[in-house]
Amino acid sequence: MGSHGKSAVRRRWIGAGLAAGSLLGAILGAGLLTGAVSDPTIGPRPTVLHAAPALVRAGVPVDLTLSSFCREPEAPSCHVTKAVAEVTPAGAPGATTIEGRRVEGVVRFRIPAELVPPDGFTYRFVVDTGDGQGLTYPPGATSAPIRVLTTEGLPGTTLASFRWTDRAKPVETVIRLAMGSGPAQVGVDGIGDEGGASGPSSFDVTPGGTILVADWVHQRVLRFSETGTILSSTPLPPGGPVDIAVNGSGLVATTLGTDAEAFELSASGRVLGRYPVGYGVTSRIVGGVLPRVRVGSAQWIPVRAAPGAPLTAEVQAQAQTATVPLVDGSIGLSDVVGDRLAIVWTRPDGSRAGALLRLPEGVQPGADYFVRPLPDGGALAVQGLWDETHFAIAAVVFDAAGTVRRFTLLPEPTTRMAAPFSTVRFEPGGAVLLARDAGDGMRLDRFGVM
Amino acid sequence: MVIAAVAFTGLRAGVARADAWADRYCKGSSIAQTYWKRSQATTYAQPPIREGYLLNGGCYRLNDRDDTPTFDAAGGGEGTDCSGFVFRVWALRTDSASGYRRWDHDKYMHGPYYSWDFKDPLPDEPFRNISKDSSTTAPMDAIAWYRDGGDDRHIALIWQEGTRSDYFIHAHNNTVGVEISEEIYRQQADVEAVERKHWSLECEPKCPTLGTLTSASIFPGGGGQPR
Repeated sequence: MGSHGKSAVRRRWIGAGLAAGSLLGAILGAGLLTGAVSDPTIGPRPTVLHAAPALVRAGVPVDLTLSSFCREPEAPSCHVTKAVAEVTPAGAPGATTIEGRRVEGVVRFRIPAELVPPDGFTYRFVVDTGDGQGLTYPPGATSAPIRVLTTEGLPGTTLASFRWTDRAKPVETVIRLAMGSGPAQVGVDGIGDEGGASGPSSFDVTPGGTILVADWVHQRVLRFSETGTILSSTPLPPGGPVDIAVNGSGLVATTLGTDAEAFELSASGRVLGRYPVGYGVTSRIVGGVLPRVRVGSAQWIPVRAAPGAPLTAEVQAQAQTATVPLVDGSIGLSDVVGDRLAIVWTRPDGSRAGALLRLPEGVQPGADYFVRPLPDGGALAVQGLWDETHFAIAAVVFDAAGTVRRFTLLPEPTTRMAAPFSTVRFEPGGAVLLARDAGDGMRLDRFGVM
Repeated sequence: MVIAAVAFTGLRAGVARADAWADRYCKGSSIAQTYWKRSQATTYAQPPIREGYLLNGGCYRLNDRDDTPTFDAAGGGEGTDCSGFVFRVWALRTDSASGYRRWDHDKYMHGPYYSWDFKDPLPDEPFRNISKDSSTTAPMDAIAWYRDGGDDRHIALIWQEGTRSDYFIHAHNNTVGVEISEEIYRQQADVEAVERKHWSLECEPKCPTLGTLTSASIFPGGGGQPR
């Protein structure tokens, strides 16, 4: 049995314990699922990290990067001796192997232009290690390859020049969150980075407008009305900072980074299930029939089959997707393609729409917060923008043909929220909520962007 | 008065407990190096992942867990803080001189530099500011900031660069210790990119002599060049 097989068996044991609600199982699971335990007969194994492209330009070479880390980096079982990308262009009968080259601690691959047809390509990595065991990414012999689409056919458009000072004013400040342990306070000073403040780690908004704030320091989730009145406080399991997302009447949450664990809570805060994230670097979570976590750029994996029933890493990898459909089945995604920001979404009739957005001179594309398809066939794209000394958020409304209909420059979000991609949320009424630093705490501001 | 006395006693007991941990496990030493490459820094940085965090500390016991998870950030125990981690990974010396010193992971050492030093280096310090643009930075360069009078400060090392976010390795905080996480630090307004001066060439110790120098022989794969 290979290392993946043994690991899978271990995880199944852990999953069984957790699903049964066994306290002992939960304790063991929390320890074992950190990845801290290695099979001594095999040795420590490298953890592979990869940021995948979602969109590329057809007929243009694509650069991919892979890195790894390991507890004993000089051990043979950790040593990456060779890495290749198996690339399959759409419609091709088989894969072409591209060998990686090691540069400054990472392995780089260049997919040649002829392997990037208009319908895109798929790829996976095969990594050789010094002990002969090797591994694949996404992990598992049966994992689905990573699928990359192209921007073929997308119309070009331009974002008008702006001044960084032209930032919109909020319609209102919905919630002010002072630091502290009071009923409507969050976080604490003195336990964060080098003793800095530790505020809420994430927030989300329910379809009905209720605002949930993860006050991880005090192990609770605070619920506020859409006008900012505190409604309730429910327990959050002990642990580090988490990203949260609404999931039915309850919520899902995940720890961040490597060896992450997602969990599911009822409306009252009861733990319905704990789900190890099988690979990658976890940065956010979304709810739904199959809650998914983001384990790398353009890589989302489900974490459970049903409440209390975790999925193995192999099954998670088999179901990996570049983005997560909304409840109505629509999707939206974005990526940087050359010097453009590519945005793609589905219209209500299921057809594909999008735009290749040229940014003003000197402006760089930043974080992808979300792309939200709209009922009129257009979309709202909320994306970070930055240069050497500025950081702001662009809320761009596109029409169904991919033309920019409205652009709003929002202020810099808080830099203290541990889940950096969850500092902006879409509200059911069409506004967005933005978490911002505010003196000794944080505030949630509502902006009209439509 | 009684409460204060009890609190003080408790604090003293905590410090004593913390010191005991360091006394027991921080037995390492250090050794001068003739070269220190980015790839060496990458290798050195990995074993502390999942270990502890200590403000102004400290040392690591490499057992894949935080030995002192209930200790306060400044309460002793295992780990270093973010600036101490960078000091070690960059193999800096304590006397501000150029050159390289490898610190055993179990050597108690923070080094003389804090996040504000890294963010705004002095000319004679062994690191300097560079552009934040990804065409300028490379793995093992750092992003540093110091805001709000120091309430919010940090330094993190770039592990793998991305187009819209990066993977960083850093002594993040007392809750998670040393970790690799995906962050958008680079695009934040008031952060600085910092690089160690005088990285050794990746061809060391077998770099060609002056008579046979070519770009390809010094920078295999295009990387490792000093900036």
